[in-house]
Amino acid sequence: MPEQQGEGMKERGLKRLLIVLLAVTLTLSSLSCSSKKERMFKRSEFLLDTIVSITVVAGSEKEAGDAMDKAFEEIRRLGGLLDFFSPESEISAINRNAGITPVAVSPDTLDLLERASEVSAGSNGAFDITVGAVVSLYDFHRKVRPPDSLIRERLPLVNFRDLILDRSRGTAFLRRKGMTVDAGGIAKGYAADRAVEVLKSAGISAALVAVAGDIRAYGSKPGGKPWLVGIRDPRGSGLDDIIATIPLRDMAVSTSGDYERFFIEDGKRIHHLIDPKTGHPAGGVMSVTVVGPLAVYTDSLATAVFISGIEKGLKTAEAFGYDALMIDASGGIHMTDALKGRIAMLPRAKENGRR
Amino acid sequence: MSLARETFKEITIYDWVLLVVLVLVSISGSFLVRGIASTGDTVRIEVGGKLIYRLSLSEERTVEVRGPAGITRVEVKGGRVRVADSPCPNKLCVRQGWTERGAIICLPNRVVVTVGGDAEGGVDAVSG
Repeated sequence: MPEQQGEGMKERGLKRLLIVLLAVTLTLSSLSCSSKKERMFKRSEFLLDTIVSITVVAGSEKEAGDAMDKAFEEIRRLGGLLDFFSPESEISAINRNAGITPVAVSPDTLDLLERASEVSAGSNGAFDITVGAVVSLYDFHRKVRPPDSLIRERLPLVNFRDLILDRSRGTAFLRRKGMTVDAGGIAKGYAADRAVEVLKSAGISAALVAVAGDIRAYGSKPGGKPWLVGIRDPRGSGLDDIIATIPLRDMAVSTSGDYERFFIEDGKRIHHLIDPKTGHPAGGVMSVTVVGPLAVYTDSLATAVFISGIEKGLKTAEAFGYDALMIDASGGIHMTDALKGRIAMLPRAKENGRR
Repeated sequence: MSLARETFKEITIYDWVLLVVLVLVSISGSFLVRGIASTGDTVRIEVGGKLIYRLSLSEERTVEVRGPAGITRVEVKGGRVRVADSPCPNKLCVRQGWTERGAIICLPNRVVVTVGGDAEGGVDAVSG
């Protein structure tokens, strides 16, 4: 009798085991099939002479795709207005009519130029939207540095105060012939902001827009985690060599460095971050990362802070309510107080033997 | 006999087996997922935003893609990938050399080579 009972219990136990295993399997498979969950979708396109990546959090591929289409289209449209090299752009029209007549421009271009003037004034001309007259003398592909005499000749054509914006008439005017506006140091950030506005009005709850190194994020990743942005090591081997990471929610980040466009001449690094006051590359700094609410400001301030140098640079960022991380010419790290603790410095890539 | 006591009494060796199996499954599951996520072993080659090749990182292969500037040659060997030849002027992509994670980007020829699902290895984007 006791033996029989034991057999019965064993049998029942085995049955129960099978039933539970079946139930567990069904639960697991149903979990992996649930499609309602929010996921990340990423796509990249070549726009604004660079690579633009958009990552959105959405419930379906279609929802993500439709919103990304609109955002990429907005960036393409802005590129048409702001492209320095295209004769059809509004920027080119302003430059052609320098010293001649005010040019009617779209509200987008006017808005961008107003913010550019604001940063030019607020940084005491360290960022100057009219620096194009001097920068265009350099050719970083062919490794051409202009002679000092030519730089001195052109310097009087650099002065953001001579860009006259008339909001009521919707016009922009450069006072003197030969002056040029180059939106290259602010257009990418502006485009990232506008793409974010488009994604928001398309109903996307969280996204990250990266126009090259000018990045704007909002919302959180699936699971509630913040977006994580890496900051490039200025002497690393490539984009994936990062020196620090910063978590972002509803924030923008931009980096300017002496490694982006440069050549070496007589052991000296000739890079594209030209001081508008001297016409020569600014010294003392390797890279600057600026963090704050809008990418139009992080983009232009990164240049302004770089050219201002360590001490003045940090003050300039703070005056705008933005934060900055600076790496000086000997690799030393400097940052605004509010950034300490928010940014995670990584061990230098040296250990990987890749430097 | 109360229901609780009856249930407790009926716990058999099979229940313990089940418990152990479930614990093992959940532990190995999390390792499995982590393994898949970190060793992105596919190489994607895109030109102008269009996917041209999806290759296995473990399979030795050399492919050529045509961009606006000409032909870019991409080589996969020993679990790594490199741009072996490119028509671009500054050859930054070639100089980057062999890589086993992340991305190689050639702007002039519009070529993007990425290893694994996550192009930048753990972060969502890189500022620089």
